[in-house]
Amino acid sequence: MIGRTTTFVIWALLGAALVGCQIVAALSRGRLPGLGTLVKRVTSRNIGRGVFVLAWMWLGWHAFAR
Amino acid sequence: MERPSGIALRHGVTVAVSTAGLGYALIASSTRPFTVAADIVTAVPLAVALVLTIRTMRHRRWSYAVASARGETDRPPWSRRWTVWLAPIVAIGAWELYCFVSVPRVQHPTLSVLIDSLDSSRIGKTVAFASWLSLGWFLVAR
Repeated sequence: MIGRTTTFVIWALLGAALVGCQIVAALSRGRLPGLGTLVKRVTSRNIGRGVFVLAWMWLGWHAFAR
Repeated sequence: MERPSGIALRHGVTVAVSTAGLGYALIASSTRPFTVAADIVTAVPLAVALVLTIRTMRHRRWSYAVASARGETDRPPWSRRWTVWLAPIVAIGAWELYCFVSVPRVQHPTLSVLIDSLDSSRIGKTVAFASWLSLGWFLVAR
Protein backbone atom coordinates (compact mmCIF):
# COMPACT_ATOMS: atom_id res chain seq x y z
CA MET A 1 0.00 0.00 0.00
CA ILE A 2 1.30 3.44 -0.94
CA GLY A 3 1.73 5.80 2.01
CA ARG A 4 1.18 9.55 2.34
CA THR A 5 4.87 10.41 1.98
CA THR A 6 5.24 8.29 -1.16
CA THR A 7 2.16 9.98 -2.63
CA PHE A 8 3.72 13.42 -2.03
CA VAL A 9 7.03 12.25 -3.52
CA ILE A 10 5.27 11.02 -6.65
CA TRP A 11 3.38 14.33 -6.95
CA ALA A 12 6.71 16.17 -6.63
CA LEU A 13 8.29 13.95 -9.30
CA LEU A 14 5.36 14.57 -11.66
CA GLY A 15 5.65 18.33 -11.08
CA ALA A 16 9.40 18.12 -11.72
CA ALA A 17 8.73 16.19 -14.94
CA LEU A 18 6.44 18.99 -16.16
CA VAL A 19 9.03 21.65 -15.31
CA GLY A 20 11.76 19.49 -16.89
CA CYS A 21 9.80 19.14 -20.14
CA GLN A 22 9.25 22.91 -20.19
CA ILE A 23 12.99 23.56 -19.69
CA VAL A 24 13.91 21.07 -22.43
CA ALA A 25 11.40 22.75 -24.75
CA ALA A 26 12.83 26.20 -23.96
CA LEU A 27 16.40 25.01 -24.58
CA SER A 28 15.46 23.29 -27.85
CA ARG A 29 15.08 26.69 -29.57
CA GLY A 30 11.73 25.94 -31.12
CA ARG A 31 12.32 22.30 -32.08
CA LEU A 32 10.05 21.12 -29.23
CA PRO A 33 6.91 23.07 -28.30
CA GLY A 34 6.49 24.43 -24.77
CA LEU A 35 3.37 24.01 -22.68
CA GLY A 36 2.23 27.52 -23.64
CA THR A 37 2.58 26.67 -27.33
CA LEU A 38 0.60 23.48 -26.77
CA VAL A 39 -2.21 25.37 -25.04
CA LYS A 40 -2.21 28.04 -27.80
CA ARG A 41 -2.41 25.30 -30.42
CA VAL A 42 -5.34 23.54 -28.71
CA THR A 43 -7.20 26.80 -28.04
CA SER A 44 -6.76 27.98 -31.62
CA ARG A 45 -9.97 26.07 -32.34
CA ASN A 46 -13.23 27.09 -30.74
CA ILE A 47 -13.88 23.64 -29.28
CA GLY A 48 -10.44 23.56 -27.63
CA ARG A 49 -10.83 27.05 -26.26
CA GLY A 50 -14.28 26.22 -24.91
CA VAL A 51 -13.06 23.08 -23.15
CA PHE A 52 -10.02 24.82 -21.63
CA VAL A 53 -12.02 27.82 -20.42
CA LEU A 54 -14.67 25.54 -18.87
CA ALA A 55 -11.92 23.52 -17.14
CA TRP A 56 -10.38 26.76 -15.86
CA MET A 57 -13.76 27.93 -14.57
CA TRP A 58 -14.38 24.61 -12.80
CA LEU A 59 -10.89 24.72 -11.23
CA GLY A 60 -11.44 28.22 -9.82
CA TRP A 61 -14.90 27.45 -8.45
CA HIS A 62 -13.70 24.16 -6.94
CA ALA A 63 -10.55 25.64 -5.40
CA PHE A 64 -11.77 29.01 -4.12
CA ALA A 65 -15.55 28.97 -3.76
CA ARG A 66 -16.81 25.45 -3.01
CA MET B 1 1.96 64.82 -27.87
CA GLU B 2 3.39 61.61 -29.36
CA ARG B 3 1.10 58.57 -29.36
CA PRO B 4 2.47 55.42 -27.66
CA SER B 5 3.66 52.65 -29.99
CA GLY B 6 1.89 49.28 -30.16
CA ILE B 7 4.54 47.57 -28.02
CA ALA B 8 4.49 50.32 -25.38
CA LEU B 9 0.69 50.19 -25.27
CA ARG B 10 0.70 46.40 -24.93
CA HIS B 11 3.32 46.63 -22.17
CA GLY B 12 1.20 49.24 -20.37
CA VAL B 13 -1.91 47.06 -20.61
CA THR B 14 0.03 44.04 -19.28
CA VAL B 15 1.35 46.02 -16.29
CA ALA B 16 -2.11 47.44 -15.54
CA VAL B 17 -3.83 44.03 -15.79
CA SER B 18 -1.12 42.35 -13.68
CA THR B 19 -1.40 44.99 -10.96
CA ALA B 20 -5.20 44.78 -10.97
CA GLY B 21 -5.04 40.97 -10.88
CA LEU B 22 -2.64 40.96 -7.96
CA GLY B 23 -4.82 43.44 -6.07
CA TYR B 24 -7.91 41.35 -6.79
CA ALA B 25 -6.08 38.18 -5.65
CA LEU B 26 -5.18 39.95 -2.40
CA ILE B 27 -8.86 40.79 -1.83
CA ALA B 28 -9.89 37.22 -2.77
CA SER B 29 -7.37 35.79 -0.28
CA SER B 30 -9.33 37.37 2.58
CA THR B 31 -12.39 35.24 1.79
CA ARG B 32 -13.08 31.70 2.94
CA PRO B 33 -14.62 28.93 0.80
CA PHE B 34 -18.33 28.16 1.28
CA THR B 35 -19.17 31.81 1.97
CA VAL B 36 -21.10 34.31 -0.15
CA ALA B 37 -18.03 36.56 -0.33
CA ALA B 38 -15.94 33.73 -1.81
CA ASP B 39 -18.73 32.93 -4.28
CA ILE B 40 -18.92 36.55 -5.48
CA VAL B 41 -15.17 37.13 -5.68
CA THR B 42 -14.76 33.92 -7.73
CA ALA B 43 -17.84 34.45 -9.88
CA VAL B 44 -16.73 37.88 -11.18
CA PRO B 45 -13.68 36.60 -13.16
CA LEU B 46 -15.78 33.63 -14.32
CA ALA B 47 -18.42 35.96 -15.75
CA VAL B 48 -15.81 38.18 -17.43
CA ALA B 49 -14.07 35.12 -18.93
CA LEU B 50 -17.37 33.71 -20.16
CA VAL B 51 -18.34 36.95 -21.93
CA LEU B 52 -14.87 37.35 -23.52
CA THR B 53 -14.78 33.70 -24.64
CA ILE B 54 -18.25 33.80 -26.23
CA ARG B 55 -17.37 37.05 -28.00
CA THR B 56 -14.07 35.62 -29.32
CA MET B 57 -15.69 32.37 -30.42
CA ARG B 58 -18.42 34.19 -32.33
CA HIS B 59 -15.86 36.44 -34.00
CA ARG B 60 -13.71 33.43 -34.89
CA ARG B 61 -16.66 31.56 -36.37
CA TRP B 62 -17.31 34.55 -38.61
CA SER B 63 -13.60 34.81 -39.54
CA TYR B 64 -13.50 31.08 -40.25
CA ALA B 65 -16.50 31.37 -42.56
CA VAL B 66 -14.77 34.18 -44.48
CA ALA B 67 -11.46 32.24 -44.67
CA SER B 68 -13.34 29.10 -45.67
CA ALA B 69 -14.94 30.94 -48.58
CA ARG B 70 -11.44 31.95 -49.70
CA GLY B 71 -10.03 28.43 -49.20
CA GLU B 72 -7.55 29.62 -46.52
CA THR B 73 -8.54 27.38 -43.61
CA ASP B 74 -5.67 24.86 -43.75
CA ARG B 75 -3.74 24.50 -40.50
CA PRO B 76 -0.43 22.62 -40.05
CA PRO B 77 -1.00 19.01 -38.90
CA TRP B 78 -0.02 17.74 -35.47
CA SER B 79 3.52 16.35 -35.57
CA ARG B 80 5.37 13.83 -33.39
CA ARG B 81 7.21 16.60 -31.49
CA TRP B 82 3.98 17.35 -29.61
CA THR B 83 4.08 13.87 -28.02
CA VAL B 84 6.78 15.06 -25.59
CA TRP B 85 3.88 16.35 -23.47
CA LEU B 86 1.82 13.20 -23.70
CA ALA B 87 3.72 11.17 -21.06
CA PRO B 88 3.69 13.74 -18.20
CA ILE B 89 0.07 14.76 -18.85
CA VAL B 90 -1.18 11.15 -18.97
CA ALA B 91 0.91 10.29 -15.87
CA ILE B 92 -0.56 13.21 -13.90
CA GLY B 93 -4.08 12.26 -14.98
CA ALA B 94 -3.53 8.61 -14.02
CA TRP B 95 -2.02 9.50 -10.64
CA GLU B 96 -4.86 11.93 -9.86
CA LEU B 97 -7.36 9.18 -10.73
CA TYR B 98 -5.53 6.66 -8.53
CA CYS B 99 -5.47 9.09 -5.58
CA PHE B 100 -9.12 10.01 -6.16
CA VAL B 101 -10.37 6.40 -5.94
CA SER B 102 -8.04 5.44 -3.06
CA VAL B 103 -8.97 5.82 0.59
CA PRO B 104 -8.33 7.26 3.08
CA ARG B 105 -7.90 10.68 1.48
CA VAL B 106 -5.29 11.70 4.04
CA GLN B 107 -3.04 8.89 2.74
CA HIS B 108 -3.74 9.69 -0.92
CA PRO B 109 -3.98 13.47 -1.35
CA THR B 110 -5.38 14.57 -4.72
CA LEU B 111 -4.49 17.83 -6.49
CA SER B 112 -7.49 19.44 -4.77
CA VAL B 113 -6.03 18.58 -1.36
CA LEU B 114 -2.66 20.02 -2.41
CA ILE B 115 -4.37 23.24 -3.54
CA ASP B 116 -6.33 23.38 -0.24
CA SER B 117 -3.02 23.15 1.64
CA LEU B 118 -1.70 26.08 -0.40
CA ASP B 119 -4.93 28.01 0.25
CA SER B 120 -4.66 27.58 4.02
CA SER B 121 -2.32 30.59 4.34
CA ARG B 122 -3.10 34.15 3.18
CA ILE B 123 0.03 34.42 1.03
CA GLY B 124 -0.50 30.94 -0.43
CA LYS B 125 -4.07 31.79 -1.40
CA THR B 126 -2.96 35.10 -2.93
CA VAL B 127 -0.37 33.26 -5.06
CA ALA B 128 -2.86 30.52 -6.02
CA PHE B 129 -5.61 33.01 -6.94
CA ALA B 130 -3.20 35.24 -8.89
CA SER B 131 -1.88 32.17 -10.78
CA TRP B 132 -5.44 31.10 -11.58
CA LEU B 133 -6.28 34.60 -12.83
CA SER B 134 -3.17 34.76 -15.02
CA LEU B 135 -3.99 31.35 -16.50
CA GLY B 136 -7.48 32.63 -17.29
CA TRP B 137 -6.05 35.80 -18.86
CA PHE B 138 -3.72 33.64 -21.00
CA LEU B 139 -6.72 31.58 -22.17
CA VAL B 140 -9.19 34.34 -22.98
CA ALA B 141 -7.14 37.41 -23.96
CA ARG B 142 -5.87 36.22 -27.32
